[in-house]
Amino acid sequence: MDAFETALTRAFAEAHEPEDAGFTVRVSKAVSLSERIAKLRIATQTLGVATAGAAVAYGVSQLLTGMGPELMASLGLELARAHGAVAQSSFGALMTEALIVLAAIGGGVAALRQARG
Amino acid sequence: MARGKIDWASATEAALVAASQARDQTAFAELVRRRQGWARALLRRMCSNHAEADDLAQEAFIKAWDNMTSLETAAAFPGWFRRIAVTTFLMAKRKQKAIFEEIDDASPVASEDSSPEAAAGAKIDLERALARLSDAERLCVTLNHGEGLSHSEIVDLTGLPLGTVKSHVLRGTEKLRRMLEAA
Repeated sequence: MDAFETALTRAFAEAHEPEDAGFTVRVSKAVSLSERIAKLRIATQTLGVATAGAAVAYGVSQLLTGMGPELMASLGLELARAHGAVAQSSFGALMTEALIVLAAIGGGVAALRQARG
Repeated sequence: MARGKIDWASATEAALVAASQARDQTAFAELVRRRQGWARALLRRMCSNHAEADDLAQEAFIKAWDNMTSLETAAAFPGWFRRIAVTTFLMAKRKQKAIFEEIDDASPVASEDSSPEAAAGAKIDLERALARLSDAERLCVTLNHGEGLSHSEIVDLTGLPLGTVKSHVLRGTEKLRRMLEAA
């Protein structure tokens, strides 16, 4: 850094800074306004979410009140049908198929062991 | 003690920063009062238009208030705020279509007889001399000589290429040398 650059740096350091002249008050007012707007935005968002939640809850309650008994009846009917189908199926036939599958697996394992041994 | 009764005028900057981070507007106002001179002087040198510089300083302080929680340590406040101020300045200038990346080699380096003030033998002060540099030269010279930042720190702060920063500092300093030595 030569003499001029040193002098230039000193000139920057010694240059006067502007007086406040109401600047801080203007910034404080702007900050205060910004805070109020932010609080209002949060309050509006909270109110919106609460209103939407209440509307959804009301809609669901109306749906259940109107269709609930029919839904429950339909569900009960389906359960009864399922139970009937299981009860009427031939357990013996199912057992035969299960035993055939188990025997095949057992035979396969035995054959594999013999082939390796 | 109630927060409203704290005498912020005698508080340290670290205390003011901590209270501002806790959203205390009175503490932030005191922080603004202490730092406004430096911030406005910095922006006035970069802008060379006092009204615009003060508007940008106000905008920078509001951004600082909005982002106080992102400041990690109170000691980092000056550098952190300088970054906000420079970014605010660059955004404003880019809206005005100012170009900082180009080096205008065609622009003449001011000579002692290129200004009426010099010709008349009048004293040219620093602010008036800075006003005759290009936006980019003024920015880089102010950050280099005024804020004591290195070329790489200016690169980090402005996003300009290193070669461009060096060139702006060199050309700006040369122009100032000729203007001020002629005064």
